[in-house]
Amino acid sequence: MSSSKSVLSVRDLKLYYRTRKGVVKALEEISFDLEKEDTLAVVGESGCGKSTLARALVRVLPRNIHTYEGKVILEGRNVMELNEEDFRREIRWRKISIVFQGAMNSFNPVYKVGYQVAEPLIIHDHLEKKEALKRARQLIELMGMPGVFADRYPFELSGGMKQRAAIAMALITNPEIVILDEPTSALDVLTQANIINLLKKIKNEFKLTYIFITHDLGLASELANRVAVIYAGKMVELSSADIFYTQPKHPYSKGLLASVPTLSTDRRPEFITGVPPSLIDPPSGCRFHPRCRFAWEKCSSEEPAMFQVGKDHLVRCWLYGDGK
Amino acid sequence: MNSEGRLLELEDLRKWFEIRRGFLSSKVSYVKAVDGVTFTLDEGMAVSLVGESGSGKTTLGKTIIRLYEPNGGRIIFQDRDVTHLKANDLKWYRRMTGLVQQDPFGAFASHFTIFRSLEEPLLIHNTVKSKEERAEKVFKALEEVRLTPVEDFAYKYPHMLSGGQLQRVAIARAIILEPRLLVADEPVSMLDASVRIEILTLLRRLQERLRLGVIYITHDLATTRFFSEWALIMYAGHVMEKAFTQEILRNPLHPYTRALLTATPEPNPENRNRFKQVPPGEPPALIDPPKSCRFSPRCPRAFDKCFKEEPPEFEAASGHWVKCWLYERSEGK
Ligand SMILES: Nc1ncnc2c1ncn2[C@@H]1O[C@H](COP(=O)(O)OP(=O)(O)OP(=O)(O)O)[C@@H](O)[C@H]1O
Ligand SMILES: Nc1ncnc2c1ncn2[C@@H]1O[C@H](COP(=O)(O)OP(=O)(O)OP(=O)(O)O)[C@@H](O)[C@H]1O
Ligand code: SF4
Ligand SMILES: [Mg+2]
Ligand SMILES: [Mg+2]
Repeated sequence: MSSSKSVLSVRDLKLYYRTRKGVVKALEEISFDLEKEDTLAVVGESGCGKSTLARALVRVLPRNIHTYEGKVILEGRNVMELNEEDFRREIRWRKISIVFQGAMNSFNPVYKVGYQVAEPLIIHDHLEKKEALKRARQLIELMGMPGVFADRYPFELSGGMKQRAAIAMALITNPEIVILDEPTSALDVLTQANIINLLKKIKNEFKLTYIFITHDLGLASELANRVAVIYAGKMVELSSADIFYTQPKHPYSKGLLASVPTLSTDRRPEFITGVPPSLIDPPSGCRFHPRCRFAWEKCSSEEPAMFQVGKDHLVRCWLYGDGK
Repeated sequence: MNSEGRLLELEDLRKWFEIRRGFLSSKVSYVKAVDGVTFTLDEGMAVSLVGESGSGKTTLGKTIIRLYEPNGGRIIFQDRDVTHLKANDLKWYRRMTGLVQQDPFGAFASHFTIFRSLEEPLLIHNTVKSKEERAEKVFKALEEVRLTPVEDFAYKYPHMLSGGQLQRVAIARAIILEPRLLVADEPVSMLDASVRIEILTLLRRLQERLRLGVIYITHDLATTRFFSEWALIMYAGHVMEKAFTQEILRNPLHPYTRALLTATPEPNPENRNRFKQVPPGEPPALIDPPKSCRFSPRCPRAFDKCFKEEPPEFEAASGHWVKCWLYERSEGK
């Protein structure tokens, strides 16, 4: 099914965590295709599974995994079948790299920034340390920082500068796909705007494909040409950004967009009542039905599939199902 | 005596933090976190304090409710000078003011029920004597923030509630002593977009119904519009612009305000095709800041004077104040 132009195809990706209270169904039935130089924004409320998706794609997993299955097809090859050694050598950082959520706070305080940016190269490519440090410095400069920042310690850098360094680190191995997990949250709006400009620039320069994870729909539109909405571990809408921002289909997507206050229109922001469900014991049928204004009996008894509503536009909602 | 309906007046208010460099050093420096703020708030009105991290919003909020003692200027509350109140008078002022903080998860003792947490201020201030009366107040406060049925929520522990629900409890606690002024310090920044609007809508209704004065602290300009009458734009300890919120959003004058407006993301699929014109750099350190416009190192329109002298506040239009040399003779633009 994956089209020949895809650089990445994900099919039925599933990830469950084991906890004392039960199995957390953090991610289920996740499928999408990415073409070269796409930016897919992955949006949804806190706890819906966005970071879980990121970790599943680069296979950086905690110990308490219960289930981890599905297909992740890179250049025609299902990399889920690779063993850890091969995955580490060929895929992680080399093909797909990631800027983890909160990356700017996870630098090691005792090493210089330049060394930490160079680390993936030293570990994965066994590059000469001096050579690697030189590359790190070049990238740091490309991120709009003075090269001397390579010789500083993390505490000597502002939040914005550390985040730039984290991006440099994700790029140093020349990956094709970069996952950005909330790359600007906790930064000020001006710093955020500068970093978004930077991400746009390097995307053009290196012909990168992004997966951009954010809970901020306004911010998502700064980079995305495609949007995936996740609710309670399931994808509920997958669409081009142009259609999504003008004609969202899923009731949850509509609610999310309506809750964003805007400066350019007089529309009053509205909110979705209720809170997302527990993923240990999610609601029957459509997981959104307890909060949905449009729900009827079918919604609580039967789970909707992803229905096609237009070209490259899928919606998991009975309103668009057959026989409605 | 002042005019009817005036709740709060700030006159050239200052809060500097004293720091010593090196622990034997006798040289004292100051972090000028709030450096000359003048503003008036009427009863029942809300003002937004907007600015980036470190601009002095929390310090100003806490100084206003006298969790900090000012180093200069005056605070007049209901025609009474509260700038340097002590002991019992200060306790009275604490009752008249309330605070809601950013992190709902850290705001409550984990071994207290919600009931117990809400009862606490009543016990401390000893305003109601009987147990029954206290329970009545607690339930009423829960009702005010729409945590109903109240009996369901009163005996829960904090970990059983969502962030949005906890923030409602925090609001209930802040209003239980029936204050006249509420400082809400980034009350929704840790919550999801939809919950943010839910909580802000609730705050707004309370403000209108109880005729509360509200100081809403935020770094998100977009939320000010529906939730406050006034807006103060802060940068590096200074108020750069102040006016009606609608006026600031429609007719922003200060280059910093304009930069903030440009940088604020809005959902629009065309955004991906353009770069944003925003000034580079970061806010200055507030330790012994230079006598200049504090935005001048980043300002796209700065000229000689901006680097030499701190601008006063100019009234560029009626009720619209701008701390920027561009408006010196109010010639605008
Ligand atoms: N290691 C883990 N063990 C058990 N449960 C986990 C683990 N990591 C995450 N979860 C749970 O899985 C769900 C999805 O979490 P995830 O971090 O992917 O959400 P998210 O969408 O990234 O949220 P946020 O916007 O807050 O970053 C949540 O319910 C979370 O509590
Ligand atoms: N107790 C203190 N002692 C010394 N300096 C302080 C103290 N509290 C705050 N500051 C400094 O005062 C300045 C203003 O801080 P403040 O917390 O008021 O900013 P803010 O606008 O609330 O920022 P944020 O958006 O990050 O909450 C900062 O430079 C801060 O480091
Ligand atoms: S399937 Fe039903 S409950 Fe789910 S979003 Fe659609 S209308 Fe609402
Ligand atoms: Mg996450
Ligand atoms: Mg603060």
